Amino acid sequence: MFKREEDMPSNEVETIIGPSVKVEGDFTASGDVTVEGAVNGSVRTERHLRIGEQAKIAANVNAGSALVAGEIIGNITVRENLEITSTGKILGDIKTKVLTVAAGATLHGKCQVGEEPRPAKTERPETKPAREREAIFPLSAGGKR
Amino acid sequence: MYLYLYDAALSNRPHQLVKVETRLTDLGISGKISRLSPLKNLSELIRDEVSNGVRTIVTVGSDRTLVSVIGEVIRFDQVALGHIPLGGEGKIADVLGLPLAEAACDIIAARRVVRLDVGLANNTHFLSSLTIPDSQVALEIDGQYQIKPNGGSYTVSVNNLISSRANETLQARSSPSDGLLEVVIESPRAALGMFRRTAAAPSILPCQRVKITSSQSVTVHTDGERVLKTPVTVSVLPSKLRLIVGKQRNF
Repeated sequence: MFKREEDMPSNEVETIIGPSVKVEGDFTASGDVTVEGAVNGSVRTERHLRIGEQAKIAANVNAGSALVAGEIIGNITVRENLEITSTGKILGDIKTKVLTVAAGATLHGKCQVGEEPRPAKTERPETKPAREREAIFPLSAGGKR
Repeated sequence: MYLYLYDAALSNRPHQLVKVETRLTDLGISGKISRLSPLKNLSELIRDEVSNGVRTIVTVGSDRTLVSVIGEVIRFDQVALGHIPLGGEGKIADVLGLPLAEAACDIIAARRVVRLDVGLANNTHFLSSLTIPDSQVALEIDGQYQIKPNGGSYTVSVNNLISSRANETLQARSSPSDGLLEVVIESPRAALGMFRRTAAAPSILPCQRVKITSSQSVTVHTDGERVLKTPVTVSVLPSKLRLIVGKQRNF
């Protein structure tokens, strides 16, 4: 009756790939995914992806957030947080917003972390008054204001 | 109007049937009674009764009796299905929160109707699950990816209505009205010693369609009774069945 919300089971559908099976193909899920077995192909979920210590993934991975404790051979794109534990091993490029790497983790590949820079607007400075230009680009001209 | 379908095996339980019929009359929900038999054309019977105004069909008997009419009842969207457990296996009745015999008459009278998904394996309808014990089958899920054994055999089940004895994760995650079936793959328990045994965590894969194939023909059970042979294509018919359930149901 007085259970806190976090104690209640989530209504999201959870997919679990156990250690006794091997998945081949394009694995797509809408809910949280836990992988403890082997996957060849691609893995995609809009929500959280957890790669267990025994998991071996030879696939490109795309997820909302992820925790990697196993092995991934392939490129990883994570929309929010990517955490690699000390047992995690990634052979591939990473693209994420926030990256956490524990001591002992293996990572071979390019990392692109943080928000993608937005392309600057090309406006004609001479058409704007000097004070307005200063407001738009406060640190321009070598950081002097 | 109500139509009551009695299992053929109920002829040896006349006293219990009299109690059920008396309770139904007391509640004002008595109706036409028909006894099921292999010689009776169930499809024709239900079609005729629905055209005569029947809107509630109630099976009286075991889980098998309930499951045997599902395929015919879902053809008529205006018809609700009820069940009075009496004799035989009652696992599905337990999950639906239906007590035994005359106590179930009150549930029918209360008429708490929910829409449930129905599983379809080739041409056979099932309500709870489809199981393949100890085999090396390959599964193709939603036409997107394949599941193959990582060595050894395993038990595969495709679940719609989860029994109260099922694994806790599965019970918490699955619903018989979410438009999905849950494929559960469990590896056999490995012996550690004389008494200790361990099993790897099961795989749980929600899906709408699964194709089960194997190199050799394998036996497939639906709702613990009917038997099919591989290859089997399993799909879900979302919210197809209007079923009268009890307050104590497991979902």
